[in-house]
Amino acid sequence: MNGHGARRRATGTASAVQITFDGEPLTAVDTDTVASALIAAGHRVFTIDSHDGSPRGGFCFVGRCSDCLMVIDGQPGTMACITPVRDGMRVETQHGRGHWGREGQS
Amino acid sequence: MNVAVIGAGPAGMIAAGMLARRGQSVTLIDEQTGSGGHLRYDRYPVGSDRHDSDSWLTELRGAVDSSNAVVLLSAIVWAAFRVGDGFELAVNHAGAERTIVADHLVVATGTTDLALIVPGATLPGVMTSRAARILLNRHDVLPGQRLVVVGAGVEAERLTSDLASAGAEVSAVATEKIESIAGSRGVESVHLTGDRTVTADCVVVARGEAPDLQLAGMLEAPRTYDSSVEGWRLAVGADLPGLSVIGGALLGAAGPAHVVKATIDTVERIAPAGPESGEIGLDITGAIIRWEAVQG
Repeated sequence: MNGHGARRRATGTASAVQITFDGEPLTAVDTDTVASALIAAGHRVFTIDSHDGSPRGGFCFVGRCSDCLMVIDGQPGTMACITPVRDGMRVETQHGRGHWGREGQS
Repeated sequence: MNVAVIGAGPAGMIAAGMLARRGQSVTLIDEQTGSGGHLRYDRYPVGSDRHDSDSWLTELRGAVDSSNAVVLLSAIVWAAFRVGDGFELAVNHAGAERTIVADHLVVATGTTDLALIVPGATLPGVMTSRAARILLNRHDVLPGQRLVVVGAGVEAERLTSDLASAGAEVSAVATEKIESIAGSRGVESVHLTGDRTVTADCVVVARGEAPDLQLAGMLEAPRTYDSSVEGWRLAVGADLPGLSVIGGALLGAAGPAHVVKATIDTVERIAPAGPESGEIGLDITGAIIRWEAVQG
């Protein structure tokens, strides 16, 4: 558990979207990006750096910095910050450069 | 003429709309899922001294939608080449690769937030001011409960106050006071000069911004290193055949009116004396942008 204090303040008129994060169900809203859904749910580690194994969690949130690359629906290197959530989407922490089409990475 | 406008923020939207109405064949390209650039997450309340971003965005989208400009969203321009007298762009559009050919390129890529270079700055929970604004204003998500805002300018002050109003405990700290950031899987504390430590779960870097010239640089636009923006800016008076750089991407190379003036100059250069000439008046006072339709 991250133990940090990020939280969603309100959902307004947005409707719920169900995704999974590392195999666990997670409820997002339809206006979310993958990054905002994870942050709101208390998850802030998106990627494990391939060089030193350090955790990364998104820095710019506009598709520039590559600190939010995740495996989304089996495709590695997908920017969580500019990818909208979709019902049934499978989101996985990316380790290093990730692997194509492989679920549940080691 | 085929014109590709890269970046659908205010500058790109103004240029695309005006060029399309002057008979050019315009493609407006942006990597985000919606047009508007910073207007999508910057919020100024109606009646404040700043322009209300929602109504400006509505106005700009109306101007683009009522023109013949083609808008490509979720489209990442990942390479640009000069080919003959024109350009070819390698674009990933919603996951599919395509090539876009243009006679003229308008680069409206905006700005990038400055980073913070201290140990621990790559920890999850360290983010730019626009990242915090996107979470707060677009998603109603508070990025942390105990935040440190780094920086000293107007944006740092605004952000500190906005995050506090949203219910967070916020300390504003000058850049030179930050020694390091610590935590195992994310930010847990910030070490300051004078042997002080602040408990924090999020560090927001609001130090200012630099022009985003990656694409212009790929096309060999002449650039100058400028320590005031901690990065490269376009060289003043650069001669760029077939290429225009407008908006925030001109930061450091043009005056405070760069968004609008550069847009109008560009449109005049590509498609002079069009029917829209004189129909739109735009006024900038310092950082305050106003958009006004001029009657008659």
